Amino acid sequence: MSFEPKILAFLCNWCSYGAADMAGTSRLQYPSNIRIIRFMCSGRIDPNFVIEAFLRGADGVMITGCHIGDCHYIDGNYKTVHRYEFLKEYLDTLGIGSERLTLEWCSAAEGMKFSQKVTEFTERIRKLGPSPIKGDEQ
Amino acid sequence: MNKTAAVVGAGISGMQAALSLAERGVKVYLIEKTSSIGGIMARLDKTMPTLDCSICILSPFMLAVDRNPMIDILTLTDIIGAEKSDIGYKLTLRKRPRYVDMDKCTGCRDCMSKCPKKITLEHEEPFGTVKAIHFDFDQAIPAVPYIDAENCLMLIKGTCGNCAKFCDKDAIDFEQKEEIVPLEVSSVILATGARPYIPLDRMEYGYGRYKNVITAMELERLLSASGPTEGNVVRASDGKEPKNIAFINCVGSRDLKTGRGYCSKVCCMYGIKEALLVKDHDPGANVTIFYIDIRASGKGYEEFFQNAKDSIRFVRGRPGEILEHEGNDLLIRYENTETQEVIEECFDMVVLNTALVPCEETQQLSEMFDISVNNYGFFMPSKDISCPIDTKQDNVFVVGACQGPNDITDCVSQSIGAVSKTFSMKGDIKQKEKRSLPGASGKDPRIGVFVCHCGKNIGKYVDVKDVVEYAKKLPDVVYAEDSLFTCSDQGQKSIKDTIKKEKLNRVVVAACSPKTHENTFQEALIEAGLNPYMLEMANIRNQCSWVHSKQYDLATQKTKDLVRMSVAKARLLEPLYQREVDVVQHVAVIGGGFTGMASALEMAKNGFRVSLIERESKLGGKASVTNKQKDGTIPEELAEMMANHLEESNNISVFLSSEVENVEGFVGDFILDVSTPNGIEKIECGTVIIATGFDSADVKSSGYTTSESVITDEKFSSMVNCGMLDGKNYVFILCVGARNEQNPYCSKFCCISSLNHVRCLLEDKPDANVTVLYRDIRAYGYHEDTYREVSEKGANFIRYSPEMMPHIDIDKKVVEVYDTTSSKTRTIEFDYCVLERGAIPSKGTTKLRKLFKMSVVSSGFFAEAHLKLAPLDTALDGVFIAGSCQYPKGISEAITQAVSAAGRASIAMGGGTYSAIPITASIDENKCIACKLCMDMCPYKALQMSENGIHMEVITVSCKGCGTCAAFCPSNAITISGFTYKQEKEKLKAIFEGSME
Ligand code: FES
Repeated sequence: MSFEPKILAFLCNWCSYGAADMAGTSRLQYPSNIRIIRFMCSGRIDPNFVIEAFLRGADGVMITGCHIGDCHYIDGNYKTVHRYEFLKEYLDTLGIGSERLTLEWCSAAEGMKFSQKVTEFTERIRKLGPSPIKGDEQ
Repeated sequence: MNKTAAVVGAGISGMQAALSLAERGVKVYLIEKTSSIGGIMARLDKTMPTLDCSICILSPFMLAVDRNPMIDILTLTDIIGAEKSDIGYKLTLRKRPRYVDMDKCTGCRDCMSKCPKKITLEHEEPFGTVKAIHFDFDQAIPAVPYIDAENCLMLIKGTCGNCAKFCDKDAIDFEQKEEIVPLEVSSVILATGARPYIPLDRMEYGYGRYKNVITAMELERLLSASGPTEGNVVRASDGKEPKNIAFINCVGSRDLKTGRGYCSKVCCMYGIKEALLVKDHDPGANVTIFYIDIRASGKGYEEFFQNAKDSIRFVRGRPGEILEHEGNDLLIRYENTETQEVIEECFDMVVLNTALVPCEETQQLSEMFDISVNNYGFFMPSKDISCPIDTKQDNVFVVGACQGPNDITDCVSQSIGAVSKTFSMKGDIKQKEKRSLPGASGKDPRIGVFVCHCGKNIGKYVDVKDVVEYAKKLPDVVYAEDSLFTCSDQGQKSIKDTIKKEKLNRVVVAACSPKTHENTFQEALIEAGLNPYMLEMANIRNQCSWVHSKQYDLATQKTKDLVRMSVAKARLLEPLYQREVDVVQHVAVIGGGFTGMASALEMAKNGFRVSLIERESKLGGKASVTNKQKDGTIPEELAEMMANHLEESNNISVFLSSEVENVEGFVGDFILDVSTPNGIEKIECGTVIIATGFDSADVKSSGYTTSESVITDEKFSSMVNCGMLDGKNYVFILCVGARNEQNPYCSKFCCISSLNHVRCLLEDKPDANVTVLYRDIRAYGYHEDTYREVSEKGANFIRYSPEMMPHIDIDKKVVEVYDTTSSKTRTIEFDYCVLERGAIPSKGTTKLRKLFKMSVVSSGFFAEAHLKLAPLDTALDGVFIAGSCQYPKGISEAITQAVSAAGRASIAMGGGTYSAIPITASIDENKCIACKLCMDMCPYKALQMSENGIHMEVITVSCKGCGTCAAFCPSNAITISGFTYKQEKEKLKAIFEGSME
């Protein structure tokens, strides 16, 4: 059977969750591999959650938030950017690979962008194949 | 005596009015002639242009009306008399019998299965039947059926009585009699709506004679999952799915033959919506729309129309007649006005997009209350422009479609506005009752899972039954069920009953988005004695069925995963309690045009202090470049009058040549830094109303430049206003800088203001030669009258195509245009060529959007909380939008919104407090190592060192719950209620526990 990646996305409650909702109302189709966890702000996304996701068996993790300057908590997403850079290095160190993590900004009106980014990311991970640390667990 | 109000008609307008009144502590009698509240909107499948499921967005609304203790719903009730009294009006009501005892009935529907008598409902014939005892639609409220007396065998012949025999609760009561009851109220709001025209007198279309010619409303019922065919589109003649469908626009509208000269405003768009839905049901079907002009003039409408062009054929022309053909097929004869060919074409189904016409009772009510109706039979507000909801009686108001065709958004705005006007004193706003929320119940988790079909929105794409069976096996789940609409009254009742019966202490609702429906389900939990935060929603519609609608198995699998994730989190939910925040009793209104001024005046009348901030050196916005309105209002005079009122008020400070430079704080306590000519002024306010209007598009984007004789719309208006216009030949070019690549949307008001320019010009210079170059004349509603009037007075209309924009030769003073109707190029001389520009978001809008971090739609205008049902609210609590910054609009619509936004803001500020969601940080003192990292990270300075200096503490009033601190805490000492580390980790784990493949 062909490889179906498991993808986890963390969304902030405001812009990006709104974008996902809008992708729905606009009936924009995207691959069904993604599972979404909502937080109030992308700044809440503890690196632990991302690592945990990979440890549990995720093949890719997507973080989305409001566009820079639009965060509903002033500057939460600036912190997300820093954390993202740090996490990428960390994922390389761990041998998981930074290309399995992505950060996207979507406004509540960008249902189209959301569905496109999910599709692109899913395809990217599909090409990369299963996460290298997955075998360890099973 | 306490103030009371009667609201007549319980469609969207009436319900909104009732809710707004109740919020102000006014006792409301909501009088409805049918058996249920909900009106037309409850019978629609989807709403345009977002394709929201209509009943899904309406159900929470209906329930809010139903559960509000200040609202008495009187169904099956008519007003038969009205008399002025000391406090307002003495009404006489006739209550028709339901024959079912509302207190005893549980809505179980056993009676309906036993009733032998079949009848058909309006708009559903001949597709399906209901019983003599029935609901008008599935989600009816009150959720008690009623007996159609004219068809009940027991009531007409004294035989049968099955329903009574089989009713466990003994709720059937054949003895009920009509009652005449008096009711005295201080004001009356008429919201009787409009009804779809039944095109029997348009003989040429054969409605009523040909089985496969139906109305758009009938198709709407076919499309609806709870309609007579459960969402299947079929032909009445043979039950087959039609493959080739024609829609005909403007049936009964723009039609003097049937006495309806107006445009019904909504039909172009509902037609496109239904056409798309038909395509969605059957991608192989061919769909054609016959139109005169496509009037896609509203927020998002033009984009909706342009997208529809991909899958739907649009033909310009009004079919002359329809003939029945072999096998009940239909032959349409029409002239394609773009090619001038006369064509005959065969279709297997024809849908007539019919007009909206006044309801039967309009005339009667107008006589009863002595208020005017217009020549088309709709209620006529007394003053068109400045107060489009007043009548000539002090305490009688008219809102919504009973004034003329209106879309949902405008109905909602008008209703809130009417209420704001009626009860504007601050004293009317009752202290908000503080409710104490229930706490935890039971120790071990007992979870109930409720899976929604959302009509067909989920049910068609996911095996819901299978999901329910799966949910039953998840840990701590003691109960699981599915329902057609979990958000409906029945669905909620089932949640409440099950909570009690199964002693549930946690609830998972697998349905739509928590952003739209969390509140609704939380209310149900509270009513059943559960803390509202013991709810977890799984968004299986927006995140699954709608986006994986071609992958039944995968979507079902994903739905199970989503349910499992929610159950995992639900097991760890804990009760939370609301926080009360003080609200500064001061409002900032930004923008000093008509909208801003009207909002400021209304807020001051409501007793709040107001700061009005205007970037220009003068109030009035575009008043001086707007011509006299049709009702005789001179905008400049109106603006001056309003400005004078503002000056007279002690409660209003006006800041001219001032701009907001910085924004801090949240609802209840915003702090705005305003740059004024005297330096920076700090304004502390509880709420903000934004009314920054629009700017005009650049003529260059359509390839034009201005000159002495080629002038903009504003230049033209001021020349007319100053009487400076000379010359005989005038050319108007419409859609300049609009509906093009740069600004793909339709600015809505420019057709209207252009027609007004022409009207004023012809009034001034009756023998001027006027040529209007247009793409579609979007003269919606009564503006059609103006269109006809100027055409009759000699204005010549020429349709151009955007691929060949009219060419202006400034030196020769001629315009060359390719006339698409006659396929000829014409050369027209002018003394003045007027460029009618579209609108773009104003500079103020662009700036404030950044400062407040507000969302905008693709056209750059502010996004509202909900396009249909919350057009004045924004995603940001305490910030409201009104007028053209939401979308370009005329003066009267803008003022209505201004008053409504003031109404919304007054309610948010009334009572002095605001209850904030209880999502905040808290610190485990034992884990905290006092590193102060959180203090540096918090954007709100909500963390401080404890007095003894050994751990941090949270200043709860300042905390907004973003959770940034928790993400940085090195010792895991910070918990965010509602999103704790444990809860989210369980949810995350659950993803990988099931078989995700
Ligand atoms: S709220 Fe969306 S990123 Fe902060």
